[in-house]
Amino acid sequence: MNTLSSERINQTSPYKVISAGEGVVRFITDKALVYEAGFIEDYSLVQENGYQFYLKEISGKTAAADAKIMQTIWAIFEEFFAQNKSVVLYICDISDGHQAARARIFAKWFHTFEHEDRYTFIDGNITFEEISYFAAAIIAKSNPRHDEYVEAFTRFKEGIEQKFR
Amino acid sequence: MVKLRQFNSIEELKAAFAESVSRKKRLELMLRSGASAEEIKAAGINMVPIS
Repeated sequence: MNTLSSERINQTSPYKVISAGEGVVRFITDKALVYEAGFIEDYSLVQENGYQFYLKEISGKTAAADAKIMQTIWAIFEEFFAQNKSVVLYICDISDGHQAARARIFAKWFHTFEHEDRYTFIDGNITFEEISYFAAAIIAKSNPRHDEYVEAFTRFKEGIEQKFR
Repeated sequence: MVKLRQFNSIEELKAAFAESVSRKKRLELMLRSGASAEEIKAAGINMVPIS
């Protein structure tokens, strides 16, 4: 796994990110919100090269709409995909029943990115015993195994639907 | 060939989802308690290094 560079992220990020220990960066918004971000190895769906994105507001202040937060997150993602031929997974937390909203927000965030065309976004959901489970994956088109990943995720979705619906 | 996990039951799938969410929550708790990178790694949470 190649190291990401705060310096490179800051070349395109509107908010300056600073390293906060190995694996985590922080940035402070104009409204003094403090975000922590990083990537965690995740083998919930893939057997290799799978990561989930970690993002947390840690000041406790109420979040407000801020396009620069989205742009900063994309700068972090772009550095991740530039340095690593991996897949980012998003598994929605179901503990409070708001998983559908989380999935919607994540998809909306992805589709507002100006360079969305550089990536493939695959999402899906399954409802079992009245609980819906949502997941998504982002694969860079520059990944030499992009087509393989897309085919594998598409087959995976179909298989899950056939098996468990 | 890209390998995705195979699930033989909905319970296995639910467990995989729960583990993924739990890993993120464990990381958050460890960061709040001031855990070091070594302690986080020892807890089975592998982060992509950022300089």
